[in-house]
Amino acid sequence: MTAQRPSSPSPVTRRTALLWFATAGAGVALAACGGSATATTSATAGSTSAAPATSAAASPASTSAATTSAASSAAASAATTTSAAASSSQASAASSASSAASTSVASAAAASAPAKLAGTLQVWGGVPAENGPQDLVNAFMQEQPGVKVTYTRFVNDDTGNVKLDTALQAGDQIDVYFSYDVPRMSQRIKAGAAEDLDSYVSKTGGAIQQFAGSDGIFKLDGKLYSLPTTPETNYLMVDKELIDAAGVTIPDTWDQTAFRAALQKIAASAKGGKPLYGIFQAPDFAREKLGPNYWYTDGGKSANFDNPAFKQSWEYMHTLIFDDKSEFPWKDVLAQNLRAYPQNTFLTQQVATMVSAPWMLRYVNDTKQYPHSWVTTFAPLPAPDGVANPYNPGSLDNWILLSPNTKAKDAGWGFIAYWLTGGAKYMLKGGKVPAVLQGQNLDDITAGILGPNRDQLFDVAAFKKYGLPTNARYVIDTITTGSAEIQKDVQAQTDRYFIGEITIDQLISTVQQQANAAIQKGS
Amino acid sequence: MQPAGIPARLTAAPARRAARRQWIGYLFILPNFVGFAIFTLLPLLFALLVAFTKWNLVAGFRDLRFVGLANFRLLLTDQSFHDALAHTAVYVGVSVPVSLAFGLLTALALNGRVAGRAALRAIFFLPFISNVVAISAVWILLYHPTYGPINAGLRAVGVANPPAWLASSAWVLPALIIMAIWGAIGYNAVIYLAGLQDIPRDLYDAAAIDGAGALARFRAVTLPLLTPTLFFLIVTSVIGTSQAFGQINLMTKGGPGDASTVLAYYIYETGFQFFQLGYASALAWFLFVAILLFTLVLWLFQRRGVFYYS
Repeated sequence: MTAQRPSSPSPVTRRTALLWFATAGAGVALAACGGSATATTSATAGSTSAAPATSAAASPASTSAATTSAASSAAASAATTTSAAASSSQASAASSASSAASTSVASAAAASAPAKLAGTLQVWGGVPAENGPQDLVNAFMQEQPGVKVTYTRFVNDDTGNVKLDTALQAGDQIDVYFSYDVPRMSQRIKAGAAEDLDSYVSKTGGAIQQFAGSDGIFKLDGKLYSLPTTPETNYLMVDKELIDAAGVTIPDTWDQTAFRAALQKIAASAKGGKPLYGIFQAPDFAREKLGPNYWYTDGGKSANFDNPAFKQSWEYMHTLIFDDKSEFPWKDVLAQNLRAYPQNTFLTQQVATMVSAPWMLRYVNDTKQYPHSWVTTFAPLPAPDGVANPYNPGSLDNWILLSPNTKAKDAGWGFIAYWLTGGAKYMLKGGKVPAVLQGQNLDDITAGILGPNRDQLFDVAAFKKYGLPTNARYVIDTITTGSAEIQKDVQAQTDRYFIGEITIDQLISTVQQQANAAIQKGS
Repeated sequence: MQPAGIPARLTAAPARRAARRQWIGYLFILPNFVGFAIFTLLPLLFALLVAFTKWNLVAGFRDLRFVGLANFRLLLTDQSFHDALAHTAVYVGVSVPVSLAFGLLTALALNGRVAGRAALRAIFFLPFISNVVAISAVWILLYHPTYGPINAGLRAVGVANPPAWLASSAWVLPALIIMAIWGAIGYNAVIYLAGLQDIPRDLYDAAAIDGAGALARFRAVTLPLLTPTLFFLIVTSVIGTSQAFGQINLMTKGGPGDASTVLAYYIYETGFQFFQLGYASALAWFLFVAILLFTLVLWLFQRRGVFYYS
């Protein structure tokens, strides 16, 4: 089957056809470069449930009432996190951002009786409008009647990001937009598609300024171009029915060794000849151990894959797949192109646990596409053996940026500030924990995040405990040299290792060499 | 005879009349040419320009930096490009000849008096008009190493360890080739059939009277007179399969490893995942020139090898 074939109804045998062949070839060659991007699947983000918003909005009154009590505990945790981060060499990248914001939230809420803004805003984000952004936009327009906001959803996959980039390049079509990974975001910032936000932040002051000044916020050459709107905490999502049947209980902390034993128990509890796996894919233990910029050493000048943490992490997964048969076979992941849809295996009870983040809760809530009656509970990520205070491989995420070409800069910034503070509650039903308001009333956040069916579908207390950690050490990469290529190389070679085609030593040496080449090329 | 619509005074000046006629001709192709110029020619030339630059798509024109031949020099040393080229060569080199041969067999079978010929022809042609997304989704299921019907069949006939197909570096390219052959046979057969219908019956009759058997008739009459069709199919098939992209993006993303990264996919990856638009354009132009050269060589060969009956 060929993607593009010039189709002529009958054989062309004339000499003049040479030109036709040649130009058709050229046109198609270019189409392979440009046009075909639109032909690729745009389904990566999968389906989304439009969960009704009944409980989504924590009321402003209860939020600010809770502030004072939460602030003191958050401040305490901020202190511990900061000291831990300061001892690491990459203090600026380690995050205590989540807890830094709380102290002056109340004053900000009171002080920011906002100036009247005016203008028209085109906002591009990856969350479907009905999962929160539309409510947020409507509430903002009510508060600021002079601003007209249109929200456009782009699918956060290759195709969707190319669309966003093309529109950004065209100049004045987008005023505010989101980015969801550091490589793409830094490309956009370097390309001049993002406004330097420092002056806006200091003008606004309050909670946002404090948040922006904390660790864990991405900066390029010391300048602030973007603000994260949500922490994507990583934790385990666990099928309570399956682990109960296997006799596995969830401890407050566990390490790799204890976790492996639990997975073995789950795999052994399979019934009726149908294989059951403990986990879809084991966590990235190298990330948990090494933290930010873990691909790089020497200040980003060379690759770090010969660090024993990588070998240890990958060998662990290999053991789970091939020896224990407690991790979902990677062969099947490749054969079914499951990489983008791990929730399918969890919600059809092929695996009992999966590494997860709040945005995935919407799949559990989507009982139409994934009908199920069992309860989803939560567990902490297992820590690498011998590491007491591991990083959380999740990060502050969903960065919001202002286009320098916008005609309404103040309105654009006003919208960004609203998204981070007063508007954040509308995003709860889309699975977005507020970044700035973290440390507030965790019960309201839990209720909003888990949705109206939480008591049937979720172990609510477990989510509050493991899904909303206030002292997580988030990871933000500040070195991005050649990172898109390195990501591809790592994926390509680990794929081959996890289907048994190459050895661990081949994997390490190939990735190390390819990553060094990418770093050379990119710097 | 004076064509209608041309004023009489012009007929006095034949040269001017001819020029005027040419103008009218150009006018007729103008709408098509405008589209071609805007959507094909201009991007083509722009890509050539970009091939000599280092350019990040998002940056806009401000950031366009000329780097001379650096992108083309990189072609010589880039191992990923060499691998992609080799994969493309295997993919095209196997799928085109095999689908041409099977297409011919199918056409010969359908050319005789076969019950339900029209229906069969439609069935064989279906893959060609089906959506590549739908086809890829079906083949992903067929190729599933554990539950797929292909491996179930192989196990049933005693193959203990059937290939993992899309999940195996060794088998992913053969899997894609099999799919390409399946997709092309019907199209090829229909074009062959048109060619077969064009062969005059009396040549067969004459050959039969001369004592030629079925095989001799095929070799001496059918094959030579099918060469124009064959020529057309070779050229279009090579152009089409060299640019296979959709199914690879949908089914394998060029993997496992880079085992199914063909040139078109590598161009996409370079341009839209690594944002190296300059190098991607150089790659695209390499592909274009390679196809053009191949077509030219075939064209020269046509003078000797292709037989036009008139």
